Amino acid sequence: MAVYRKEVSRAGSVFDRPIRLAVFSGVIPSTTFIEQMIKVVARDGIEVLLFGTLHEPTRYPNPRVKIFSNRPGLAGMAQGLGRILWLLMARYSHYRKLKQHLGKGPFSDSASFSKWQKVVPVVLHLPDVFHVQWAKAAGDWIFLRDLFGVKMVLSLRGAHINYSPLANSALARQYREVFPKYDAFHAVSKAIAREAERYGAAAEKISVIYSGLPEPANLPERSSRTGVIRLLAVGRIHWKKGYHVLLDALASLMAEGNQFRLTLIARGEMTEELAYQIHQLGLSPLVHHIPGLSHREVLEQMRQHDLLVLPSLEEGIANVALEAMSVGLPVVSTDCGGMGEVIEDGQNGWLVPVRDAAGLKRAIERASTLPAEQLDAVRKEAHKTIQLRFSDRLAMAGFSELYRKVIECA
Amino acid sequence: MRIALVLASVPGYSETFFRSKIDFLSGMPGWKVMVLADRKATTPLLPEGIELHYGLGAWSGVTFLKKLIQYVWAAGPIKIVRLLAANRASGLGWRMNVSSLYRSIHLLSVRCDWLHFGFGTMAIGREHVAAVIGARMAVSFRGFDICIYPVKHPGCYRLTWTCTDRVHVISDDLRQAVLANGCPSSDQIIKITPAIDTHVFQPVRMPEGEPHPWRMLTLARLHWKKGLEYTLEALAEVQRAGISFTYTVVGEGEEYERLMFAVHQLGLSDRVIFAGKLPPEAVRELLRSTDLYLQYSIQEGFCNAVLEAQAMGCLCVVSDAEGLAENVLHGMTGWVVPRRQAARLADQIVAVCNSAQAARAEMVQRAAKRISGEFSLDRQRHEFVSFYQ
Repeated sequence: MAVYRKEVSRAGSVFDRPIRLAVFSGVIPSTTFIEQMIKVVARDGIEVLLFGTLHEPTRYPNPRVKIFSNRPGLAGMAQGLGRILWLLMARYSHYRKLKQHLGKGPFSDSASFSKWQKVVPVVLHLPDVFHVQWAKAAGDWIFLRDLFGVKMVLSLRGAHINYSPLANSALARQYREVFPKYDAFHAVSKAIAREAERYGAAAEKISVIYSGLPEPANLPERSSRTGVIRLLAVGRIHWKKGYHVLLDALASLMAEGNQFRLTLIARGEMTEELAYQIHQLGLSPLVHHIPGLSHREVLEQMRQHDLLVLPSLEEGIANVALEAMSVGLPVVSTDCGGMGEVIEDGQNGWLVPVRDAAGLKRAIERASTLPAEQLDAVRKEAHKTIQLRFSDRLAMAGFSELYRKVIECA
Repeated sequence: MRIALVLASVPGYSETFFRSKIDFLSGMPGWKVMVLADRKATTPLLPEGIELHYGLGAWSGVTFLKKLIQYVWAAGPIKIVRLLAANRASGLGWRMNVSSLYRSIHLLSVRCDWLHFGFGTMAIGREHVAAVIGARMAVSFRGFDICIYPVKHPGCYRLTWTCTDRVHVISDDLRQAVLANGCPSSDQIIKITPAIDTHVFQPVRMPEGEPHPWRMLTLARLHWKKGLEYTLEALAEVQRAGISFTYTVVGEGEEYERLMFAVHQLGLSDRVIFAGKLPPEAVRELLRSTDLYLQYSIQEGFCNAVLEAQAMGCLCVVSDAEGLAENVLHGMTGWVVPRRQAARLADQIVAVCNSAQAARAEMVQRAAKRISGEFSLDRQRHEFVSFYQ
C-alpha cells in the first residue's frame, strides 16, 4: 500500500503526496538486492531518488525512480560547481547550515570540494526519508536528520554488521554513537538484527524485511539424476563464502569414492588460496570455475544441476539460495546468518553448522541419495517457502510499513 | 669468491635465513657478498661493507632516469644485446623481453662468481643473466615459490632448470616438489635447512605442575597459508573438551578481519589475542612463557619459528606441510598432524594437554637437543661454503 505525506499547498489546501525516499548505496546501479528493493518500492507508488556515483549508464522504466548521480572527472567538477552555486542562490540557509556542519566552504581545498560535491545533490532535493544501504556510511549522513529533519533509515546487511566492526574498533565506536540517532532500521534477517543490537540499534526500531522474489512459476519437472552428483555453488570469490570448507568436504566425498562434479559460478579470478587447495586436494578435474554469468544463464545452470551448495561463513540471506528453491533446485546450506530462517533441515532443504566440512559432506550425501519421492517433497516445500515468505509482494508491504511508521513518527 | 644475492628487498629482522647467511659469508676471508634488491627497504639490516644495489623499480622521477642511464652505461651494449638475444632465442616475446631487461639491468654490471636468486620466482624472466655476466647461477626454493606459484603458472620454471647450475632447497619435501616441477636432475639440488643461533634461543626449565591455563602461541603472518583458521577451529573443539587455555598470535597481515570474525563466531573472544608485530626481545619473552607452540600451516617451507620454539623448550604441534614434518619429528620431538583437518589437530592438542608431565618434559628435552645438534648456525655455514665451492 502506498505511503503518502500530508502537504499544504501554496493556496493553503492540504493534500496527500507520495513520500520522497532517497536511496544511497554509493554507486548506481547497486547490488542485485538493492536494485530489487528500488523496483519494489517504486512500484508501490513511492518516489525514489537515487544518489551516488554513476557506475554505468542506468535507466529505470518506472518514472518514479530519479537519478541524481555524481559524474567522475572534469564533468563531475563542473556539475558539482553548478550544484553548489545553485544551492548558494536558491537555498542560502541550507548552504549556511551545511558550511557550519562541514567546517569549511566548498572552495577551501580539494578535499572540501569533494565532500560538498557528494552531499549537495541530497540537500538540493531533500527527501522525506533517507535510506542508507550500508552501515559504514551511516555516520556520513546523520547530519541530514540533525540539520534538516530528514527521517533516517539504515539497512543492516552482511559484512558491515557481522564482522567489519569486530576487526575495526573505531568503526564499532562510530556505530554505537550513530545508531541510536537513526529513526528505523531494515534488517535482512533476524540474525543480523540481533547483531546490530550490540551496536545500539534499538530492537523496536528494527523491521526484518526478507528479500523478495517475483511470484515463482509452477515447480518445473527435474531431469532424472545421473550417477554423478552435479553440485552448483554461486557467489563471488571471497573468504566469507566458505568455498575452502566446501573443497575440504569434497575431498572427503572423493576419498569415499563418491562420483561428483562441482560448477562454481563466481565472479572474478580464482584466488591463489583456492587454486592451491583444489590442486593440493586433487580436485582439479572435478571443479569447474565459471568466472561470471548473467542471471538468466545462472537460472539455466540451476536446471542442469542436482544440488545447490551454500558453504558460507556469513550471509544475510543468500538470494541465490532463494532463487534455487524457487526453481526447484534443492539447497544444502550452512546455518550462517539468516539461512536458518529460510531452511528447515530435512524439510525444505538441508542445514549444516558453519565451518563443518564433515557435516557438509554428510548433508550432500543425504540429499543426493534421497529417494526421488522424498526429494520431490523437499523441492515442493522449498517452492512453497518462497511463495509464502519470500515474495516481492511481502517485501513491498514490509518497506511501505517501515516508511509509514517512520513518517508517522514525525 | 664473489656472490651476488638477488632478493625482492633487503632482508628484515624476521628473515634470519638470509641475514645470517650474508653475515657469515661476508666475514669469510677472500669472500665478498653483494645484495641486489628489487625494492627499497626502509630499514635495511645489513652488516657494514655489504655492497647493495637496487633495481629500477626502487626509484622514481629524476633519480629513476639517472639510475637508468647509470645502469645502461655500466652494463654496456654488448651485455644488453646478448641478454635480449638469449631471451629471444628462448621464445620470449618482445614485450616480455623488454620487461626482462628492465628487471635485470642492475644485475648486468655486477662482477661475481655466483648469481644466486633468493627465491625461485625472482629468477623467472632473468634466467639468462648469469650466463651473460659470466657467473654461475643458483636458485633457492623456499616453499611458496615451488609449491603454490606453479599451480597458477604451470611450467614457469622450464627455462630455470636449463640455466641453473645449483638448486638450493630447505627441506626434503621441497626437493621432491622441485623434481615434480620438472627439474631434470636430483644431483644439482642441495638441501640446506634453516638454522638458529642456539646461544640466543636457550631452553627454559619446564615449570612443575600442570599449566593452567595452557599458554599457546603461533608466530605467523596473518596469511591463509599459515592455516590459522583451521587452528582456531581446532581450538574451539579444545575449548569444548574443557581445556583451559589462552592463544596468542604474533604477526600482522591481510587476513586479520577474517580471523577476528572466526574468533568471534567460534566463541573464542576471551581466549585469543592478536598481538600484532612484536620486537624480537618481546617474541623471545613470549616463547619463554609458552607451554604449547602451534604451527598448523597449509604450506610451509621449513619455519624458523618452530626451530626457535623447540630450542626454547616449548612443546610443538605442527602440520605436515612440507618441511614441518622434518622440522618436528612426530612422537619424538613434537607432534605432526595432517594439514586441513581441524578435528585431528584438536584431538592432538587435547592429548598433549592430558599427557603425563614427565613425558612432556622428555619430549621438550629431546627437541631442544636435536635443534642444537642439527640446526645450528655453524652447521648451516659449512653447508653454504661447500654449496658454492
